[in-house]
Amino acid sequence: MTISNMQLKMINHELEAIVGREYVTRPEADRAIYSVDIYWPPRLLIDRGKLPPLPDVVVQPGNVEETSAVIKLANLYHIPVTPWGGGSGSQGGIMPVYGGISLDLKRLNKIIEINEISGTVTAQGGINGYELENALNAAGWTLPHYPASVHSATLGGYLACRGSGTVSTKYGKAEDMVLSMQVVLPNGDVIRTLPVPNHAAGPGILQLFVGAEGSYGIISEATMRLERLPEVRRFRSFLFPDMHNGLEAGRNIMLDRLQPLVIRLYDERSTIKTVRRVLGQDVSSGSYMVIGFDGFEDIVSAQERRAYSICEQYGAEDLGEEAGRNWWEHRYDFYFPPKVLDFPWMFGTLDTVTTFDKLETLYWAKKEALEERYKEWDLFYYAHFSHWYLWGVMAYDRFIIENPPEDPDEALALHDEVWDLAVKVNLEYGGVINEHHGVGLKLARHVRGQYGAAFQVLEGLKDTLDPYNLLNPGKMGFGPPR
Amino acid sequence: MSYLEAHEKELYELRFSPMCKPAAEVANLTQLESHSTRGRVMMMWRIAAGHLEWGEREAELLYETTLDSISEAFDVFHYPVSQYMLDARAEVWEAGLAPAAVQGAVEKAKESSATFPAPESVDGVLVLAGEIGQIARHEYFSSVLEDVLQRVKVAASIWPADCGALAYALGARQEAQTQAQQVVERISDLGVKEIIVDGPETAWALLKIYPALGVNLPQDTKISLLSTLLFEKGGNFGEISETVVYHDSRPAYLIAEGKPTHLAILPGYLEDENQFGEGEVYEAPRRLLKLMGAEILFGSWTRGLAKSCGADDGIWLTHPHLAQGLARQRLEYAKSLGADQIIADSPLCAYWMAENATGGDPSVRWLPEVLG
Repeated sequence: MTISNMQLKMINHELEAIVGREYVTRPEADRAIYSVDIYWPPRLLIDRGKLPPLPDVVVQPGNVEETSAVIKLANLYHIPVTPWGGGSGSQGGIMPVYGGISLDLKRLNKIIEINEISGTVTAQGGINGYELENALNAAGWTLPHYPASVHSATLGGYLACRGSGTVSTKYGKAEDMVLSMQVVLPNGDVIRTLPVPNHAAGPGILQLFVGAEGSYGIISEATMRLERLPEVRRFRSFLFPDMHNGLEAGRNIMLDRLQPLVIRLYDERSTIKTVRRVLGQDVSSGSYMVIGFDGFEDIVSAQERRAYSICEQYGAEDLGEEAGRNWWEHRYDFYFPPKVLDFPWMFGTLDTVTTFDKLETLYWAKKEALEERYKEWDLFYYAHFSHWYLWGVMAYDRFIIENPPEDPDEALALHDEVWDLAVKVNLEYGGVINEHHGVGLKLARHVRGQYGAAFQVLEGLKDTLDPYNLLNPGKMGFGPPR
Repeated sequence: MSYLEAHEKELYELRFSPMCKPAAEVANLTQLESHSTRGRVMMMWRIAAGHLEWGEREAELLYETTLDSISEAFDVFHYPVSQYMLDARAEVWEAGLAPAAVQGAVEKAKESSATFPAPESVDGVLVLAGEIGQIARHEYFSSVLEDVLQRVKVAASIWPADCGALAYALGARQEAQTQAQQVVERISDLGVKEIIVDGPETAWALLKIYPALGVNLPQDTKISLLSTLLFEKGGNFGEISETVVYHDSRPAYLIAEGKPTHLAILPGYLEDENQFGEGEVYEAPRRLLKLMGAEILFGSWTRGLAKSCGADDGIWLTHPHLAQGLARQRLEYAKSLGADQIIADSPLCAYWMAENATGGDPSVRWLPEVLG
């Protein structure tokens, strides 16, 4: 959306009246960073000396009242609003593709209450995940949501994108931990969902806003269930003869309800790389697994005994505790440069989730399809399986193209094609378009196809809540502002 | 090649990383993303790569921050972020683009250095009090220093010299070099072989800045921290019955021997304080306090990961409102840990936090002040 300079000045005055002059920012030097998260395309543009679409102005409300007032002003002038939390998403959800306001929510960063009786925390949506966890640990609690982005992401961002952390196998995803939320609707009204998530009091609206990535409203506050810090936490690693046996072992551990904290099973390619790096051993085949348990010592010991017995049944070689502990302590290292995936490579995480019966077929179909179609680009496909459910498992699969086209338009076209094919295979073989990174801009064009006729439900809600499509437009398959 | 071009490869690697977000002090105050390490590094890379030029706002963003050495410490692989900042500021300064407040601070430092001529002779050791020389209440801090030296029977001459650290931190390298040369010439003339520094910033000047500027102290000159000297001399310093948060200044990181490990950035990790950085600059004051029976409270923003109180890197002179905000954050943090007092071995930090403390805050003391 283009706003004339005169209009912009008038609107700026009104924004400053709401949040204070120091919290309305216009210089391009400040706005540039608000167009970039971990999504590859805007980073490509910057890499090539260009800029992605920028917001016209950055606004930082200090509380929910200011947030509401800004949204109401945006409705008055039909200004798009793109929420900003930590800027650590991988899907381009924060990109202000139609300009307007980038609404930086990080000033909403207070912990309202740690409820020791109910084991819950209520905090504002802009609180940094690392800061929240430190405060909880000091009180003997943990929010068992440990994503790679914990140092950067916000509580609102966790929920907006249905994020997952390293221990989701036992404790669930962010969407499983939320009891209730305060939300600023696209018309500026502030609502609260019911105080508890499980009830028989009619359709649940809590989960409408979870995963909506700001398109139905801004998550300004959330109450989350906590866990007590565990007495023990232990890890072990194994080497299976092949991926199938590893998957079978994992499936049976889950179906036996042994409640592992984490299972990370690597496909053969990842195994060869990982075992060499972590254990200094060269293997030419096999499937590496790290598995962990936490809780009370006696329960953990019993769970471990049964789980390790299952691993043995499926031909695993026990590699001991050290590697697993090492992984746990270094788990963030690989998100810091220079270890993180970066340019000049093209890369992405193609994750999906499906039921156990379909997972292996999906994996092999995707691997074959991508490697065959993009043979000329030497597309490298590898995967691990890291977020397990009682009914299935997530494939955390990635592609790398080390020498993408130099021309940015060609590179973007190739990037989108790879995603199109990956999503096609995901949907064809019983998966979904994404498991825990969200939709953002990257997958927005696939949401309609995924839901089919059911998309009218999402669209109907959007039309009612946000008739001008101002809140995070261009995402979730909802199109441009009206 | 410009200063920043020399770092282009490393800036390229860092430019999109959001991982240091919990550390960057000013960004955590303003919550503005362009104040974050990522925002700044992305800007610096675009300039180094020739995609952007220094403009007024770009230059301002370089100074609306500390040197961000804490991001360097927080980073698992310790990219030298503070060096990128120093070089970027030098580039901006030499291009004549440094904001007016920055130019004013450097000018003021030049003027005030004339206020503290070198001693005519040195009785015993020379105490280079570069931090004290910057403080409005320098006479009080000098008298505290004299008292404590007398107590441990150390004959010393105190010189609140401008050591050039401020000018260097703000990018005025020529001015810093001139100041460094004047200090070293005087030290040579005095025949001094042992120098005690009043705080970590002065130590940073002598140990790191002077060599970087090609200014060399006379051979075999021994440089010691005041806290190390006091511990070695010993004595009955009395007892501290209150709970204490010990505040490490950011320059302490720049002269420390060991950086924080990967364990220190794990959420909630509080097992071993040494994982947050090692070195005499951290240990010496803690040894003294423990001798006095102080209960030193431990929070994870400590040692190499101690956040700036605003008295570092010139920000208290160039952007006092930001520096005041940082001081308030340190006071609130100490209060949240349950501290009765904050003790710092940097007189500048102690001064700045005390100036910004209000009723209900922990009391703030410079280490020699508590040695009864």
